Amino acid sequence: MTAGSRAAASAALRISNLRAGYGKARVLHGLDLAVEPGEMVGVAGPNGVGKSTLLKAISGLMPRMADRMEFGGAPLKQSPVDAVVQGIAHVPEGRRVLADLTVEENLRIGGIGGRVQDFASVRQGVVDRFPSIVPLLHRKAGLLSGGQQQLVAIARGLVAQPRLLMVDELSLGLSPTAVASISAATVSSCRELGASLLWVDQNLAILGKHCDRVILLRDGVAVDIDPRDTGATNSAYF
Amino acid sequence: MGLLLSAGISGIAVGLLYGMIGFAIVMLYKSTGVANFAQGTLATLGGFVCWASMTDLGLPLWAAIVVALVASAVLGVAVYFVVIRPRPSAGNLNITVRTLGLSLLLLAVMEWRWGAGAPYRFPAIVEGTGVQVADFVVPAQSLLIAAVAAAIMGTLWALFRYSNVGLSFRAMAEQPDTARLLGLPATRLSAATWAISAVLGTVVAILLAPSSFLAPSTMESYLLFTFTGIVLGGLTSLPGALLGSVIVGVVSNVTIVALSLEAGVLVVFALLLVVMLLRPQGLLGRPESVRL
Repeated sequence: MTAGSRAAASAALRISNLRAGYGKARVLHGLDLAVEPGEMVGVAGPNGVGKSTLLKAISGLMPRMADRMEFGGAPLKQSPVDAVVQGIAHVPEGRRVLADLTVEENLRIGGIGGRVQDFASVRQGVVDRFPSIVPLLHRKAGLLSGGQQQLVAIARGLVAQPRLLMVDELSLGLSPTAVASISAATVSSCRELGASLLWVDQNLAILGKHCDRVILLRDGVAVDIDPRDTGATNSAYF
Repeated sequence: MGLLLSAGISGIAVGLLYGMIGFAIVMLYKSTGVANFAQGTLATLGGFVCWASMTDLGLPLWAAIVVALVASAVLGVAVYFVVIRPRPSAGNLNITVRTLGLSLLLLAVMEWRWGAGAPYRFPAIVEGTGVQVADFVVPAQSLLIAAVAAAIMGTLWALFRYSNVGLSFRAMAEQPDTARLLGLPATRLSAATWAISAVLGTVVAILLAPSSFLAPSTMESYLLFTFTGIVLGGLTSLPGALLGSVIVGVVSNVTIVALSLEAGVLVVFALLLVVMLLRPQGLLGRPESVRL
């Protein structure tokens, strides 16, 4: 496989009747979701509705059941390692940068996990898309600000050459300026790489601004919404 | 004075041996959250494999060492898959107690197989009295220990710092869940960590056996000194485990020569208590902090 070939290949995510939760507390009750190749999909919904659970179920971090769970035509296994190899990168809630490692080493870990063949050029491509990361490369990731850490976490995901990038709560705890610039860079990177984006956030406005489509999680299932239609949105939230 | 100085120097050598065991324990603790109480008996078993390869198979010492190192790598991996890996949901305390059980089991196996004639004489790798420096002699065995420890620790340091495997290990040690999420092969890394720590133990047993003789419980008393060194160094710090153990080795050796054997043990454990009271995070460790 040459560098970039995986990113360029299109892949669709197909999920039907997904059920997942924590022990007996089931959070998702038969969720259907399709993400087309190259599509930017936002997932909104109040706290505890299962947004993070959805991403964890896709990357195999937690037990789940589904009638169908496919990515790029192949079934998704219950294993985070396999998910990464299949081309799904998961940027977890709370950034989870490796604090004792430098930013450069965090990027290398992303490449190692993604089994990237031509790491140097892939890394250069990602760094070029996030120029503000350059002065941070040799600093310990744990010493960075929240916004810088979010940038590192997303860059670390992109270095794995995903066909689908999943970002959990990009805006959480960040300033509006940081949210705006990181969102724009993330979405444009995905578009240039031909990767789809599945973006979970409580900030409905920012999802509406950047995504092709926004869905709302409610009672464990997904509903399509128009983020500009405040009436419909309010009734879904409250 | 010369006597104390040479006691100090052989204390450094002994401390490096504690330190290598300690390094293995901290490495496993950091990456898997398990304190491996079987580290000492695994090391002794490696020593016995080496000894049996010479006496039962008639191999020369160097070949027996190779056999023992390979066997302990395999044993380390086997221990991981048979004893440690099943039922991870049982929690780290359960798994830590498993290592205690494994230690007792291995001890019983060695007593059954080799206990009757123990302790055994074990050949030294280097002969000769050593090097004369000013008015005292540095024993050849101490020089060998220092050289082996420096080579192994240097290799491991470079591995952790520069290689993909080492980097993956550090990621797994810091955040096991995130490492899995990023696609790092946690199972293979853990198995490799167990192999490395078992090999380290066997190296220590082979270096220690010529002076201490070989018996099933040879490493047990050393393990207490090793734990003191680890706590002194900071519990989760790899260089700290080495530094703390060297301090323990020097302090105990000098005290033994200056006062008595009993005083040497007493001073070490008094040191442990004082450090835990005055600097609970150890010399190179970080204070526990929780981000709210």
